[in-house]
Amino acid sequence: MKKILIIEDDRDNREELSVLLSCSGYEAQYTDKFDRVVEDVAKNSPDLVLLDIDLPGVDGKEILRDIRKKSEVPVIMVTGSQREADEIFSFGYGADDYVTKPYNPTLLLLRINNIFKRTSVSEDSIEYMGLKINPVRNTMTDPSGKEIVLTKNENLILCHLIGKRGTIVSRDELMDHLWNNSEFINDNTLTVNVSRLRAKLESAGVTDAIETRKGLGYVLR
Amino acid sequence: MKIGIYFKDRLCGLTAILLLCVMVSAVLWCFSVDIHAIVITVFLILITFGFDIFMEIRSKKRFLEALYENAHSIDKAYLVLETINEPEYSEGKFLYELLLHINTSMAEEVKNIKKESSEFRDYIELWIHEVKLPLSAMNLKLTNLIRKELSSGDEESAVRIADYRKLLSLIHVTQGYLEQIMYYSRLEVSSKDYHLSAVSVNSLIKEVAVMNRENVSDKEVSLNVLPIDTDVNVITDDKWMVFIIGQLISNSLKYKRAEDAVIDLKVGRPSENLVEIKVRDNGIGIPAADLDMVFEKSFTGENGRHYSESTGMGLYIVKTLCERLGHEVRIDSVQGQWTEVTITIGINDYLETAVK
Repeated sequence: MKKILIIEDDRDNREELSVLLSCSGYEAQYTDKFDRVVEDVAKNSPDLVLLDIDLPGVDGKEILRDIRKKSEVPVIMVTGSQREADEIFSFGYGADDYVTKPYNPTLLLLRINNIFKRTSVSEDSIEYMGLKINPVRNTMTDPSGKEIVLTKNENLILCHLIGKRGTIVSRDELMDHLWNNSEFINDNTLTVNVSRLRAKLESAGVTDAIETRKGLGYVLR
Repeated sequence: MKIGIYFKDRLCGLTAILLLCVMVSAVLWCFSVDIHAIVITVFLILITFGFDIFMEIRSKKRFLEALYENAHSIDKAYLVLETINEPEYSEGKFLYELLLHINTSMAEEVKNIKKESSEFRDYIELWIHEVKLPLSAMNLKLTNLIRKELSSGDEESAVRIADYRKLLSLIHVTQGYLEQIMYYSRLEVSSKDYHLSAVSVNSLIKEVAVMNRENVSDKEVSLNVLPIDTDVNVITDDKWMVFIIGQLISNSLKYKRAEDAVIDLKVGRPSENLVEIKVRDNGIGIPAADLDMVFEKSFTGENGRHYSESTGMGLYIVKTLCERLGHEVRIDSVQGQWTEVTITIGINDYLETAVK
């Protein structure tokens, strides 16, 4: 499990963020002492750091610079202010991403996910119920070896659902995911895409793969 | 300034001198003085007084004319005293010092007001920053609650999720207003705050779309994102542009039609050196009579009377920020049918290379 260290001085934000990350399959840690952050990073060796810029008594940018002297851990800067200088310095000191509060939590998760994808080797194909899904080529292969072509949207939806297999994925979350990949579809189109994907899975021999939960979202069996 | 005005005030003195000449002539005449002597005496009197008047008018004229001319030719008239020398005659000295005193007192007053307004602005910035924290925490909390409901997935979850979504959408609206006041408070000092760089227009509108996804979905509006075939870089501040276009989208959402509301966010290239970003909706439109005034501060117009959310600030801020960035903004509309706001950005190859 990937370990994420939260460095944030506002208690409510810190705790809710840690709940969000824990529920999304990460191990979240946080600290409320900001004078030894660099040591904390060295000691806990997290896989990613979420670093607030406006900390009491210290400047997040300075912390980032000190972290970078010792470690290449991915760092996402989180800030409440919208000062241009903060952003420029952050990237200058080696931040991997920069997010301003209040942020869309789903988008933050997608950005974290992007960083992990960037840092680890991406998979060529995903297995699901005997199907081989190839996200890069937008295709899936059924057990007999027949290749079925997916549209970009269907591919994005299917991969996201596989990543969250067995849990309910809200339509909002799917929409955020699609929009983030430049597919600016509306509510109706999402419904159409899901039913087409369902039909394609059925033709590949996987029936009732995607279940609709009314008012909630979709579950992949 | 006409020379006449100097004589007007001296009418009394001039009459007295003439009277004196007449009286002296009369007295000398009575004593049977030679006519030549009388003429010479009168002449001497006139020369003496004339010299005095000439010298006085000359020094006054120099000071007053400089004061008048300079005060009208510089754009900050209150700085006029810096441009002229202190006059040498005492009346002028008195006036000069008085003006200096008035200036100092006004400068003091202006300084105090500037200080107050700058302190107020600092406080607003700080306040916005503080308000963002609980908003951000609420946003996270509600997202977590929705996720919790999703994982339990029982009968009533859907109802609760709908409520949480409603609350989230209200938070988004609050965030929009918060951004608005932040940019407004920075308007007067914002020249120091923007950061120009080469920005891809297609990436820009995609970012705007992602940032506004929830607002658009909350209002059940379709957003069509229409990038340009050949992407192009423009020199602008991407944060400002995201805010500006976001404001235009939020206007379209506010004044949308009841059903089948659509917003087009598109990029065009009207000529080799220009890029246009358009936000077009099929909403209630703007009456032709109001169209020229919508960019004015606090103007709400006819639509404002029917919608309580109209502040009259959004488009004013949009226009001001665009002007700072050197972009043009234009609005077209047909009441009851559509509204289209176009931001035109010039492409300058030289600038582009300079920024790179």
